[in-house]
Formats: sequence, structure tokens, C-alpha cells
Amino acid sequence: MSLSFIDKVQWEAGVLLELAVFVLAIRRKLFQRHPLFTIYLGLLIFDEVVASIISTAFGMRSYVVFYTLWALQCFLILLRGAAVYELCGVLLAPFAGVWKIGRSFLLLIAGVLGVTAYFAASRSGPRISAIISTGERGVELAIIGILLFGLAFCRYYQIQIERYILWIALGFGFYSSVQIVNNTFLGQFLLSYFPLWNRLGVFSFNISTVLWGFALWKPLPVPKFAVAALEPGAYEALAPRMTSGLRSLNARLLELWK
Amino acid sequence: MTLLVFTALGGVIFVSLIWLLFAPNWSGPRAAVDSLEIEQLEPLHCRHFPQISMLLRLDDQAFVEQRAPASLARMWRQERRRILLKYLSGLTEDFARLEHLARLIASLSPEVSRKREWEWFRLGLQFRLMLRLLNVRIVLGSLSLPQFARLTDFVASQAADLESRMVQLAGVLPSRLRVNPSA
Repeated sequence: MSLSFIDKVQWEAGVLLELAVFVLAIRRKLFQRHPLFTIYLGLLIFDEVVASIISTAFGMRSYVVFYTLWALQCFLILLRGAAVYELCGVLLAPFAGVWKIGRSFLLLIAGVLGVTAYFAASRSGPRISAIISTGERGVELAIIGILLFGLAFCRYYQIQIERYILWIALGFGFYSSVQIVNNTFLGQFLLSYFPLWNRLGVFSFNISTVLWGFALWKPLPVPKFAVAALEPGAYEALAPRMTSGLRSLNARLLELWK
Repeated sequence: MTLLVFTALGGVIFVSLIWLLFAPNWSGPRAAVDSLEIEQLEPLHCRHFPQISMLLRLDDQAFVEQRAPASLARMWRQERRRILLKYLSGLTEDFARLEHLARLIASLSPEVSRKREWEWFRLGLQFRLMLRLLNVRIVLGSLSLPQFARLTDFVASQAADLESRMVQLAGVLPSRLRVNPSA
């Protein structure tokens, strides 16, 4: 089985983009702030090299190629999830109190969606393509779930998102959204949809890589290590009074409604 | 069916992502985190309570209905309804300022109570929902004036309390701010 011209162009463009973004990441010293994301970008190139070597050596239809590539894909998806969690940490960790509640919430979301993905995949039938598509869709849902809730925390607490993080997040989110729909179609139409599934997957990933390149195009802003913080007792002194005020106001509004 | 559900889900997720990333965050006056300019967040609309309470006087209503021609009385009622609606939207704005302050305090605190934050979130939703419903009732004319007067009375007392708390905060908190290098 050989690749069509369009697939070949897409694949080669993808490799070049990944290489360019990785070089940019190294130049911008991204590993100092996003070590997992930098490792992920590096592993993408490693994955392409391995795929190229083993498919030349064993042929595209070999079991060795199939299992090696899917094992690498699994690892890359999990690493992408970890990179998304890391991104949320970069945004929220300077706000110690918010990060304490945000962290456990994000892990809970990841856990629930991950377990759901596992059960959905294990029940999706004997066909390997159905298991893979359902499992991958579930993991993508978990990844985007972490990202959306992390961003929701930022919005709720009015935490400013730096420009480069905004584009990185958009890259992660765009690919996951497309893959959720793409994998659903694969689960329905199975092998007849496989070529289009592959093409769409590569195309959307290339767009995400462009967005990451856009994020890293300019030098990263100086990190804000220090955040002005209140004394530990201030929250406990102020928050209960504000909450009780709002609680009584709501009670009065409810009374009015009856 | 699965196809439809997950395609819609993918679309909703992507739109939510765009909104979370690009929609403007806070439209009201922004208190600087570094200097904690709390006075910018003081409630403004609650202060107009005396004028609103005059508007709600029942003897005025009786007087207009007895003495003024029907068309003028109708115009007077419409105008009063418009003012009440504006006042309610002002209260919503005041509430948003209070909410902004509460979140600012939480984001600057090293320890935040999960229970309290959840309660604040829930109460905020409840408050917004009830204000919307009240808006509908005012538009439909099904809210009696004494009921509204009781509400504004309560809001005014809350606002006075909040205002004194704001002044207290503005005076005390900036001096208690410190840079936390470990954060």
C-alpha cells in the first residue's frame, strides 16, 4: 500500500512543520516553562523517523509496523494530555489558592473522562478500528475537557492568558475537536472511511502545528514569577461576609418571586 | 444518532474554546491586581435608592391615576417601569463589581476554600437567574410596588454595608499586600 500524492505532500509538509516548530521551541527556550510540551514536540519528529524506518524495513501492512505505530500514538496522545495539564498549570500555578482547587478539579475531570473512554472502548465491539476510534475519541474528550475547564478557571478568576499560550491552547483544542468528530465517523463507517479519517487527522494536526509555530514566532514574554498575595487570613476574614450578603440577597429575591 | 451527537459536541467544544480564549474578560472597571484599587469596584447604582424609593410611593400612583388623563397616567407608568428596569440592570452591574472583588480576593489568596468558592458560584448563578425573572415580571407588570420597595430597601442596606467594607478594604489591604516570591 503506497501513499497517494496528496497524502505524501501532507505528510512531508507535516514533518517539515514539526521540525520548524521544534527548532522554534528550542530557540525560545520553551522547555523552561513547558518541558512536557517541548518533549512532545521532539517526540513528534522521533515518531516520524521511526515510522519512516520501520515502514521501509517491514512494509506498511506488517504487524510490527501496526503495533509500533499505535503504541507510539498512544504514548503521544497521553503526553499531549500531560502537556495540556502543564499548560493549565502555567496559567494557574502563580495563583496558589486557585491552583489548589483547580488542580484537583482538573485531575478529577481527566480521571472521569479517561475511565469513561476505557469502558466505551472496551464495549465497542470486536473490530480493532472501532475500539481504536472509540478509545481515541474518549481520550481526546478528556484532553479537551482538561483544557476547557482550565481556561474556564482563568475566565472565572479573570486571569490573563498570555498571547503565546492562547495560540498553543487553540492548537491543542482545534486538533482534539476535529478528532472527536473524525473518530466518531470512523466508528460508524469503519474501513471505508479510513483514508479520509487519516487525511483529516493529518490535515488538522498540520493546522495545529502552524498555530503552535505562530505562538512561538515571537520571543516569549518575561515570566511573572511573583504574584502579589494577600496575607493567609485575609480570605477567611472577607469571603464569609461577602457570601452571607449574597446569600441573604438571594433569599430576599426568592421571597419576592413567590 | 451517535454521529449527530458527537458532531454537535465537537462543534460546541470548539465554539466554547474560541469563546474562552478570545471573548473579552471583564467589561467593567478593572481593579489592578498589583495595587488592588478597590475603590474602582465600589457599587454605584445602589446609591440611587432614595430616588427609586420616591418613585415607588403608592400615594403618587393614586394621585396620578385620579387626577391625570388616562394617556398621561399610562405614559407615567411606562416611564416608571423603564426606570425600574434600568435600576435592576444597575443592581446587576453592582453585583458584577462585588463578584469581581470576591474573585480578585480569591485569586490573590494563598488558601481558598473550595466549599465557599462553590457556594459563591452557585449563589451568583441564582442571583442572575432571579434578576432575569424579576425583569420579566416588571415588563409584564405583575410585580407589585410594595414588593419591589422591600427589595430595594434590602439592597440599599446591603450596599451601605458593602460600601463601608470597601472603604475598610481600600484602607487596610494594600498595606497588607506583599510579594510572594515562592508563588
